Amino acid sequence: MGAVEALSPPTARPASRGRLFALQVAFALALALALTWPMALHPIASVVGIAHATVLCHLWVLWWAKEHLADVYSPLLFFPNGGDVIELYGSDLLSPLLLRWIPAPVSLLYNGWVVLLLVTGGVGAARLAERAGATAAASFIALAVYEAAPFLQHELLNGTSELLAAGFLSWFAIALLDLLDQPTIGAGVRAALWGLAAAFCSVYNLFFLAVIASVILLHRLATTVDPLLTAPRVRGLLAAALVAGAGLGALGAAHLGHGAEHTLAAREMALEQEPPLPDSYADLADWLNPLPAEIPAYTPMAHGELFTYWTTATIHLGFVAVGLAAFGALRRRAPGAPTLAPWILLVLVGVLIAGGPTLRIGGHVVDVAGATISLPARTLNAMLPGFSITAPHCYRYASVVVLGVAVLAAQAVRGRLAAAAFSLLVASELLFVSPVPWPAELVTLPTSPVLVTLGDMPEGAVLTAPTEADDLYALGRAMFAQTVHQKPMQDGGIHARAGDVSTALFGDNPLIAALGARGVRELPGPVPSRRWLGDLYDKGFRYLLVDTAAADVLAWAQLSVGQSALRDDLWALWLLPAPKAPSADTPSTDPPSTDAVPSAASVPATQESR
Amino acid sequence: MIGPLVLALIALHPQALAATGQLTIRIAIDDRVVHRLVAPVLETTGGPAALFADNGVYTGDMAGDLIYFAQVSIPAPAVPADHVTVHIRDNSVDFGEFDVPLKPDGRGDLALKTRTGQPAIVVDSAAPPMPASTSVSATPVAAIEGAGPTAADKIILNMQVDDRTANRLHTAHLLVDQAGAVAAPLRDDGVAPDEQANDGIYVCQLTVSRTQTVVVNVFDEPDGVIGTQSIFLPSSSEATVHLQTLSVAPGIALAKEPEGGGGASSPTGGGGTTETGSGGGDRVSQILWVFIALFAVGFTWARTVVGQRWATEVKPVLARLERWLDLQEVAARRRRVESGHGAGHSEGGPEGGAPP
Repeated sequence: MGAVEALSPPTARPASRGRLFALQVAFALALALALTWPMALHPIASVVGIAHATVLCHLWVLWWAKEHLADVYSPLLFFPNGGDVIELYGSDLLSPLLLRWIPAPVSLLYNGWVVLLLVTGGVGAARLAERAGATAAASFIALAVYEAAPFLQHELLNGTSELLAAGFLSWFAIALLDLLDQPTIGAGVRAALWGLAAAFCSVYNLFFLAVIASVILLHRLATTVDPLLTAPRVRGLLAAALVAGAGLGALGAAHLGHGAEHTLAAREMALEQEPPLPDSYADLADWLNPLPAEIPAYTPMAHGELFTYWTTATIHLGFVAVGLAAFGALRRRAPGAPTLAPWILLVLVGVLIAGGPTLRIGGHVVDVAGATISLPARTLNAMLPGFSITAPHCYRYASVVVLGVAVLAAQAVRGRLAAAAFSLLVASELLFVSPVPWPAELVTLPTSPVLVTLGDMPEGAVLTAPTEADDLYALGRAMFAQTVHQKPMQDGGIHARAGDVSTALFGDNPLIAALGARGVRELPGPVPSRRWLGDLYDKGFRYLLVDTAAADVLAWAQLSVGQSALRDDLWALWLLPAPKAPSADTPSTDPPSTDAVPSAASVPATQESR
Repeated sequence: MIGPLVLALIALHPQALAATGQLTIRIAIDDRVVHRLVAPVLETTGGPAALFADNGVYTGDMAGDLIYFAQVSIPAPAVPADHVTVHIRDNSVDFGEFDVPLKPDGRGDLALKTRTGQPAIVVDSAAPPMPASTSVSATPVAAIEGAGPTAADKIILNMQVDDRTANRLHTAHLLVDQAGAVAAPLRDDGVAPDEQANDGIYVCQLTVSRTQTVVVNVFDEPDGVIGTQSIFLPSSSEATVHLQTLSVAPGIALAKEPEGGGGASSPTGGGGTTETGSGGGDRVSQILWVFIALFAVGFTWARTVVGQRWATEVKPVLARLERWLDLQEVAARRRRVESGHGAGHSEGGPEGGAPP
């Protein structure tokens, strides 16, 4: 029996297919809301994720797409030089382009988007499992294994929501199998569209797609002697190539025109970075490690600092899921049932690539007779141009492992009762016993009257402090503040990614450098501070916005500029005085210039009373 | 007790060290007992500074043996003198000044040793005289110092030290903790590569061997060592390093991450190719993984072809043969039955013909 017959899709009446689909969507939605609980209670006032991760930056991107999409090189960031939004935040291009049309708060859009991605991934995994021979009832097991995977849950908390779009991979795989088994132009177009959707959400997905397509096609090539390139398949492939080519051309143009080469060069040696980032490799033992991941992880850096890393790796698959997958892979298949070999291979290949450059078990590099064991990631890095893009976070290839395990787990049982029981068991284990905390962590969106008032003030850039360079917590707060006050600021993203031009002010102005210093923060005294603030005023800065939690910066600001004009529990605001022309070093006791900004006394409501 | 050890670590070398009008100062410090030195620096009046090395950079030096050695050439003073004064520091620790007696050939050698009390460094009078000359080894053993070269190529460093806030620098030098490195003056005089005179940003450009990290030392007159900073080097052929001075320890800090420039350069000098994983072992493993993948695909395909041939060509023949054998057996049985009922038929009658 040829593989073409072996992978033929299940047949069922359209009505029952529709009912099954509705049930799958309902279960996936309920599971998504449970995974993100209690977000559903506060979908506008909070977002799912850790405050120290990039979740607030995602909100900024959605706000930017709604309000300032035309300014790809945005003057709002890294004022006065500006920053390239695609280079800084272009990993996910799809959600900003889609969601900008929906008139809703950005927090609601973000929460809705991640729930949609979870549901899409879960239902896709269920459909793929059916395609691989699982019964309709057992497909719910695949849904639970995939959607509740701790890997995805943690990516959600990390704010790496673009990786949730790995859920599109299963739909791509279904379309690819259709293209091989029932080749039509429509199947080719569907494969291309799902692939593009995944790639527009994250370039990582492009590599995951390549892994899945390679495994399926190589398996098909090796297990059939019939020619693969029949006329219908060629037509379907051409259609796929046309659609994918147009989409990838646009994606490539977007990235190549906005720093992709810089990113590629910066990541060229990432695979060999020592010490590695905690999420750069998947330790072999961690696939079955239910212990909670430690956040933050402290990574020693080459220049002696300890980098506080709030992104962490969880690849635990779940004991029930792995047990079911093993049983599903080994159990005797009914005559005529589709082969499971591609999905077993997918798990194997995914584990090997996710392992990073060298095999590690239990936190240690495995050493055999004095030699480490190089894994395929290093080979791919050497052979495939572009693979280095994914090299810093090889562990993300867990996406394809989770998908393979989900498909295999659904093959373990066939009856309705057993399938329902195991679906609930898998979901319960991954929700309540997994390394990811439940209920999910939320970031409550800060509401600050100071920011609202600042939004009504005249134009002028805002010196926001402190914005410790590359600290995502401070960055997220500053960027979310900008969505309220809507004025340019001096920071705006990872400095190494922003480049030399955007971050020039950090080299030119020692005050900016001191406020953004990582680790040691040594602020200049009042006299030089006034001089540097004067320089900033000349460049267009009119406001100083200080996080009230930063006591040292508050004290410095009061010493250098005087009493704050506005203050609430979150932010304190100063109006920068115009520099005196003859002697910038002379301490100024004059009130702020009133030609550009209102005087402190004219600002109502939240005036500082302390 | 430097004695024979210094003699052993400093090999004789034929060429003269000091050019005409130059004095050659050589200092050895034995730190084997006290272990108190980290990155000692030798400073001279009016001349360059030098970092003490214990990394095998000098011919005959045994890396990591805790006997530090430094050599520096300085201009001879206008008025002949019988000694020169040098200063020794180690990070923020000032070990004081030492007089180095000069010989008629313009060479000055001094053997010192560390001790637990004060002064922390004293003259080691028991040390034997040093050899006539010393040279920098072509293959320094720097790995022990934690900055071992991973490849033979170089990287140009554009160093910028921002002193606008701390105002600590006056006559500043920068020294890279690397084999054969000499102190480079940090300038703020508006002469390229410096952009603007007296703007508080001191610059210098130097070329160093490519390593994963380098340790840079900034020192100044009269403060001595301002600070030491380890820097991760990007994979480019040129990099700009932004440092800033601090008025408190650690004295200097990275203002921002080093920026690569001048094109990516692989550790093996491949010029932009992604050549990760050093050494032949990795290449073997790469070939092995490709072989495993190709073998898996090839083996499965061969198995498929053989399986299909077996099913379509061999299996039908075997089935027919089996059917023929069954027929033969039936015929033979029938003959046996017939022979039991009547005579005249012999074994192997016309039914026992050739197989189909």
